Amino acid sequence: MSERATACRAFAAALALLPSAASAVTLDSLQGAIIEASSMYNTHIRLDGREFDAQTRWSVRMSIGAAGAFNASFVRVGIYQGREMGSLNRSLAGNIGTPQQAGKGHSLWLLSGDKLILLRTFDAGGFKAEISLSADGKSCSLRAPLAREVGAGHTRMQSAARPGSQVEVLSATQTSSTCKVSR
Amino acid sequence: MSSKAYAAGVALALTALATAGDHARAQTPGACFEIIAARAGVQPAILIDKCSGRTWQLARRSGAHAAYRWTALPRDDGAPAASSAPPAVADTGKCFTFEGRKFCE
Repeated sequence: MSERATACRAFAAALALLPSAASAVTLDSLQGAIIEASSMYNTHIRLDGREFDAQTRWSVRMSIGAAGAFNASFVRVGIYQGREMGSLNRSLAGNIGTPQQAGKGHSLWLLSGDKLILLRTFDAGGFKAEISLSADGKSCSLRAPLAREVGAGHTRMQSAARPGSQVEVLSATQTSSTCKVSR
Repeated sequence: MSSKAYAAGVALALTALATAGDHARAQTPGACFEIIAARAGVQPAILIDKCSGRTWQLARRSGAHAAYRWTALPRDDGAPAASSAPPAVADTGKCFTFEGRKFCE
């Protein structure tokens, strides 16, 4: 086989790979997207010295602009015996890929493969939200586990049910989630 | 960009990595440094020092002596880049490192 034929075949093989590369999630493909996601947790918490079984609902609404700029609002709701006991609201504007202060901790949105990932730290412990986007960018799913901080004991954060108090999360299990992309 | 300039950039990056790696080994017995590969049009290559929490991105400097350099990542909250405790991120499956703190699911 001639060198030219080999080169042509290599070029054709490279071209064959292009569709999959073109379908990857990019900052450009996310521009104009609004992602709304929420997650429910069964938790066992310690608040003001007492332990409770409770639930937590975390939700985010994120609108993405040019070059990864975003505006996001977050809501965390504390639920006890089916009743909403209180909520915490936070808004953040920033850029995907740039860490920023969030309350007493920090947060960072990253784009990794087909996932938009939020890393968040608390007083102790952290949180990772993975939003998996479909190839066409029209649908998504959310996986958002709490993460224990190595060497820091239980996760501690501001209480949603009792503002000003700190809640200690002894365990948290994600029980359901929703995710939606619109433009 | 010419292939010569690209090769020079890669060589420089590898040199920087080797230097960084030596520094890391001097600090801890484990590997401190991790690279997140670049994605064309999305994000540059990112170098993370999981031991100190410092992060850099690979950026091309233009001008008469165009070259690739590891540039310290700035912070949104006004803290200087490459300060003693800047943020760090390493997503490695069930664990990640951020702000010099390690978290595991």
